[in-house]
Amino acid sequence: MIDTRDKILDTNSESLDVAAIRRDFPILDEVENGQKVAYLDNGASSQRPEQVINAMLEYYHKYNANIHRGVYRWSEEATRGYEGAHRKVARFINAYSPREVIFTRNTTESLNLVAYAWGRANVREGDEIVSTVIEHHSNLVPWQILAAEKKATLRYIPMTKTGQLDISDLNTIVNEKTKLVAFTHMSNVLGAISPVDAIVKRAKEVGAVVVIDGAQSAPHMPVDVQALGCDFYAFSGHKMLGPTGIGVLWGRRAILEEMPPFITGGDMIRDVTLARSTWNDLPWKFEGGTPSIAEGIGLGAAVDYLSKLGMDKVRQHEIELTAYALEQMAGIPDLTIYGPTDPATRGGIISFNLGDVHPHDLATMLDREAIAVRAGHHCCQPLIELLEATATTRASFYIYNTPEEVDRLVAALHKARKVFHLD
Amino acid sequence: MPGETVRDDLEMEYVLELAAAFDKQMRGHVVQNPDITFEDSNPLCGDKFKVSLKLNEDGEIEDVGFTGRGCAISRASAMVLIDEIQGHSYKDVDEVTRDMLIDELGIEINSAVRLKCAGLALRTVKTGLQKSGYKVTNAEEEDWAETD
Repeated sequence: MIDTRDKILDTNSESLDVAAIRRDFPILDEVENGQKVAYLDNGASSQRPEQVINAMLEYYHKYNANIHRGVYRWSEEATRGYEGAHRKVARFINAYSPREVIFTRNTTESLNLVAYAWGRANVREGDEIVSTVIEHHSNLVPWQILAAEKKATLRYIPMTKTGQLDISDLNTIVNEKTKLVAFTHMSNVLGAISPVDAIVKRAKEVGAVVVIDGAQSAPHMPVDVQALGCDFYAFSGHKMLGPTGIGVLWGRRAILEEMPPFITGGDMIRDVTLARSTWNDLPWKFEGGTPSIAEGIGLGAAVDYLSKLGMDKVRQHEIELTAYALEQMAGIPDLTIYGPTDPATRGGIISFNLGDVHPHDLATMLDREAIAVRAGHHCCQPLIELLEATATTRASFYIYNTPEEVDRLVAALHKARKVFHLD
Repeated sequence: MPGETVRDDLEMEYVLELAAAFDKQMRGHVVQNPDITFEDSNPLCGDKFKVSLKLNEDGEIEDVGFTGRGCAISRASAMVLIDEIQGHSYKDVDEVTRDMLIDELGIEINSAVRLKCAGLALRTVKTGLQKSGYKVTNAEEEDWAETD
């Protein structure tokens, strides 16, 4: 176990320099109840480095203006910054073109965009839509509504006992009637990484469109949308060092060109007469109204930051930290850990329950130890039911988390056993 | 700070005692021919309470039963609430506020999430009464007023 710890702390060229990273996040020096906060709620939202905050400040201080059609330097610079962020994101996920990168508010809006714009134009009565039982509500509810509206059938890929998607019956669930398959790249409760290749292969055999929820994967591992073979990929800025209020929908250009718009009005049109309108080029066709300009620029800075670190190293750091945490937590009596046990098949998200202690009570106790975790159903009520739990407590890691913080979590859980009379 | 830790543990201790008392009192307790049954949940965590109330002709609450699931704070505050309203007129429910329940628990709650836990039982009872035509304050509005 000492080996794992040392490996993470070793600042050789193969791993992240966590100490240097932490200097970019002044918030991590904040003290609660006499201790620095161990921020282990990254699955919900990450922190932002100085570089991101400064990029947004600079826009507000030096060139704040609306984008497009402003013929003066500030507006031109704002346009360059905002459009440039699309290019950075395109490179980050290896999109074919920045025109395929649509900025939204968040993953939820990205998925709704697909459901409303693509779904309403392409799904008909008797068609089938496939989702999975482990989805976040945002990749489940839009499909429920679409299916109900179109009298289509919504089917679900089930889960194995170890918390992986169970694809043993995939050829039946995804069939000739299937128009769309939507699934998460990484479970926000279990951390399990989905078998993308198998699902995409089957979906393509039957000509279905594939939507991947990348909210938990894009911030934490290398993502190549071309290699994934999907048609849409959605993620949020605020979970990957960027600000809130900015998210991404990547879509294949040919599909986006055919799709009707979603939000209509400002900036998304080409020509408007009193009789009819035509649409702007991609991606602006899908970015109606004044967008979140500072947030877009901030997301660009976040992508720069992550790219500079290298997503392979980000992933490696989290594999090591998760392995260490799983090892340490295995020694805590009464602790149930959900999800796959092999760190190579999961992200840095650990959901658990301590005896019959309610997760809210446990999280409150951890808060008093200045350990920030999340407790509840994590917007995955169907999955929580399948786990036969009422809720879970969830710790989730990122680039700035350390083995010391894991140690503090483990010590606090041992203490919780005493406070809640489990020993 | 060890001193603080001890205090925290003692605080939790009383909440746990109340929660245990609630579990004991509600286990197997069925309200016969309830006049009101109402279920409410905390959308933040999915915790659920279903309340059953038996009222007499004078509008006095004769029996209270809860089923469902909740954290220690929500169960402890339900226990305090039961003691406050059982044998009293439904009108007295209006006098009970979430802050009063929290005072009784003897803990400080700063988190908006945990405030909802502490208020779940009260909200369930008030909304249940309201939906059955009894005039009580809208608990939803109280929720907003106190978290601002």
